Amino acid sequence: MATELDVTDAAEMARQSAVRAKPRKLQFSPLVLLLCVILAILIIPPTFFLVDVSFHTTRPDGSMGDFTLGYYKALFTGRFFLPALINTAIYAVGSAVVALALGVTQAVLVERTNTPGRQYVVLGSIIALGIPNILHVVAWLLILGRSGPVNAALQHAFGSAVGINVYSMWGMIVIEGVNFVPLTFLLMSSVLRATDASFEEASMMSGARPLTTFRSITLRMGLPGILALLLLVFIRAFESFEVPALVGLAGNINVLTTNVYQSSRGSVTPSYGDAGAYSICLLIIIVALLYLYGRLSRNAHKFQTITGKGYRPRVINLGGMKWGASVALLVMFMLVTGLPLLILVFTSLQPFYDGVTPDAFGRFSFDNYREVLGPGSFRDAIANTLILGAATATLVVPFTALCAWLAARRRPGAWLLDQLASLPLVFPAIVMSVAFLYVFVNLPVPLYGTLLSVIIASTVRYMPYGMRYAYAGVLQIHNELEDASMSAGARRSSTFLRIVMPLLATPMISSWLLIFLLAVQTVSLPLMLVGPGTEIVAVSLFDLWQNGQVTELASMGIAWVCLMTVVSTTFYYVTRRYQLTI
Amino acid sequence: MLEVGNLVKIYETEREEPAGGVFDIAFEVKQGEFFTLLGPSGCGKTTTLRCVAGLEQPDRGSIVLAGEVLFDGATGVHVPMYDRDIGMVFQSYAIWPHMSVFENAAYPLRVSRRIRYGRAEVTQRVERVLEMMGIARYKDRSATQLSGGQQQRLALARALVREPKLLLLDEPLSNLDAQLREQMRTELKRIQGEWGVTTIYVTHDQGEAMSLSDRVAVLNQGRIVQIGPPDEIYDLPRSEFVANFIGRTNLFRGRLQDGVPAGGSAIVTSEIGPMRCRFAGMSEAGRDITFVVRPENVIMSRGKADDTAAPAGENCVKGLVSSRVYLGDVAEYAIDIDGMRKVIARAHPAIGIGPGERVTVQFPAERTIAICE
Repeated sequence: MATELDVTDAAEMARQSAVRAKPRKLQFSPLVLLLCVILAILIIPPTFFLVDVSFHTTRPDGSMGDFTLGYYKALFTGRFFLPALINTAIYAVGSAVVALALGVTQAVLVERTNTPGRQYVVLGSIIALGIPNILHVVAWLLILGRSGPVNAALQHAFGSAVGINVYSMWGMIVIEGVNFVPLTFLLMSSVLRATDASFEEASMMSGARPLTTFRSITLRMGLPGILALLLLVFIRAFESFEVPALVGLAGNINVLTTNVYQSSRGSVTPSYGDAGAYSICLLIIIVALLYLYGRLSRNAHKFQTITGKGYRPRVINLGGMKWGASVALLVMFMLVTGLPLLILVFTSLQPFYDGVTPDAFGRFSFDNYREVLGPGSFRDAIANTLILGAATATLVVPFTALCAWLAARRRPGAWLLDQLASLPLVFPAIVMSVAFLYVFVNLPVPLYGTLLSVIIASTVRYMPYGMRYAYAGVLQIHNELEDASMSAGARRSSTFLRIVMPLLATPMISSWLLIFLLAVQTVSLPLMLVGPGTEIVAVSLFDLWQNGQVTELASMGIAWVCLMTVVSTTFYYVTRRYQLTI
Repeated sequence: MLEVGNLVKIYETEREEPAGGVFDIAFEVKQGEFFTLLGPSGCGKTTTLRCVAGLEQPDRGSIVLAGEVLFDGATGVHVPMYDRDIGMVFQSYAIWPHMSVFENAAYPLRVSRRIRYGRAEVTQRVERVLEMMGIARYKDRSATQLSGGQQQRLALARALVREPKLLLLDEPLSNLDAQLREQMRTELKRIQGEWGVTTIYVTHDQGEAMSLSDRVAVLNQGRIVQIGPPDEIYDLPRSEFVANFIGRTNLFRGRLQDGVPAGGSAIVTSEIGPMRCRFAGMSEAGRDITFVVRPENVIMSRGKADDTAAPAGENCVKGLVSSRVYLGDVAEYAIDIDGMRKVIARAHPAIGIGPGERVTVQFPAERTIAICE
């Protein structure tokens, strides 16, 4: 479930604060300096190594050899780069279009119509956050695969020559597109909710009917936001890994991220040079796209003014069609959450997967669960994963709260904090994984293969998310609250601890839960860094798929989903109760 | 032109308890009249306006515009807002940021279904109305580039371009600073006079209500408490609420000695002595009466230092000035009567009476008004 956050604002804020707060001379408050150094230590080495390794040959013992442009030459003149780039672009555009079409429709139905049942869609989307992306992909491969129920039904109806091959570009597009629907839905909803009702009322008072108003005013004003969202999903798809790895590779379709992965695994020895070169190219493309995104979303915000009058945007009465819309919402729920869960539950109760046949129902048993939940590596994986998620969230949230506060209050030098903390955004997870792998391998300290190494990489990756939440939270705390504290005699540190932190408590809890959920389900980040003894759930699921152990995968997955649903529903109730936006 | 009868709209909380609204609102507005709904926050004035606009659907009552029924609770008629011949200016102006000034003003003509406007006619009408509002030179600019005052004129232009039968204004001046507000107030009055459009104006500012309106309806807690021309509302309040809400006033209580006919005057034995009051309506003897006198109508004169006799003249009492506040164009005095009651009087600042001085305070009988509900 690639439901990662709207990372735009962090990048945009980083840009804006850099433009705003360019100091005349370089000043740093001591605290800011300290934090900058910490961030620099975490973020610069992987970047540096990545650049370095792509320009130097790798000796057999793993150390760096002579300077060479060979990797880049091989990349651009070889047969692999251009097709991979084209594939990535097609795949990204396709999934963005699918995700947006479904997500925007869902958002409009939920926020602006009287469709029955619409109040449950948000809950459904947040529960979907608890399903790891990889499980989602596996579920759809089970449904659409060669032995799956869809092909069985088609063959039954039209004969054995007919069938769909999901290991193809369209398969990748559909699965990834559906994956992103909760993300586009949640982001589009908050856009729609923030629209000022009076723009539409003015249109209707001018004589325009609701449909004309929707077309000429609502959509037109929302267009920049929709385009920005399209670009965001495009970027996310560009750097995604699970779908291309599971679906694309089996169909011989390569994208840039799988190229990075394959060259760093290598056929004989890992070729870090190639991986490095691919990574740098990917990085540059992502930076350009994020810049474009920042420009686009700034225009989008220009059109959204929220007055204090508090009239909610008008709800469109669909009349008799509302039942059809209700069915549409149900269908989308089934696509995103329902069907995957059903097929996984079904598979988890089987000794082997042979499609959905009447015989299969007779073979139900709980053996898989008994095996998986019994003593063994899965329990260790769960423990490791929980530690990973909790540690990441606990490190990121307070650290970014402090950084965001310093940046928002324009302390000397804090603009650099902002930039550094948002920098990890440009790294696709797989690239960060390779970069950290190289760092840890070459460190004198024995960090390679430990859970700590994964925690460090994870903390760096989710730093921008924490920043975004914390920044938004700090902006809501009026300056005067802190001024009052300081004029009453408290120093800045006391003010931060006694005034700011308590007020930030609820956004921080929400942020903690979201970062926890995201950190535990990513596959590509820990993929290179884990080893025996540091299994985590997402990577174990990935390995099980590679080994064809589908039924164990399903039972492990379902057990994990149950656990995560507890966390994600808590997240839902916290955001509902304190009316936070996601 | 507009008749509103027995309008009821009740808002309920989630637990279906009543949480405000309007009850039994009824009024008429004549052709070309400037009619204001005035009242404190939450009194129901905006709800009433939105019901007339069609943005809210009332629970009961009727709304008839130029003979056409827009809403009737009894027969279930409810004409949607886009089919009513009404122009509206919103408090936030609601100028569309993705269109130019010209397009904003032209929008009602472009979406019109009942009458099809040709391109030439659209251009002609829009330019005319923009010219009237003094913003014609900005017509090709993006609407976001206008200042607050200019956006407001654009909102007005957009509302009037179709020459509607009724113009509704929802607190249009509240977002402007004091100077601009006064300027726009005069502008509004002029434009409304020139166009002659029937207008309903909603505000909580009495100054606006008094200076702009032909008639004012004062609302409180969902009901109309008094309707009349501004001077009637000001000089002859029919309830304590109106007396206190509009301007400053001195309020006293007492008992009526003898019965009095409508339009007559009689003595009320009050906490500050016997006072002759003017009665708009008939009252029987022995009734409890509240009467008011506006501070600017109180006559103050210096008493002699050793004068202990009762003051001569009707409606006179002796008092001691306890404070004087200089306001530039007027000075406001607080005068203690018998050490208990305070009377507020306003006088020209040049009158050199200061705190601590003994004065005689007189309420002219024809300006001492008994409140007749």
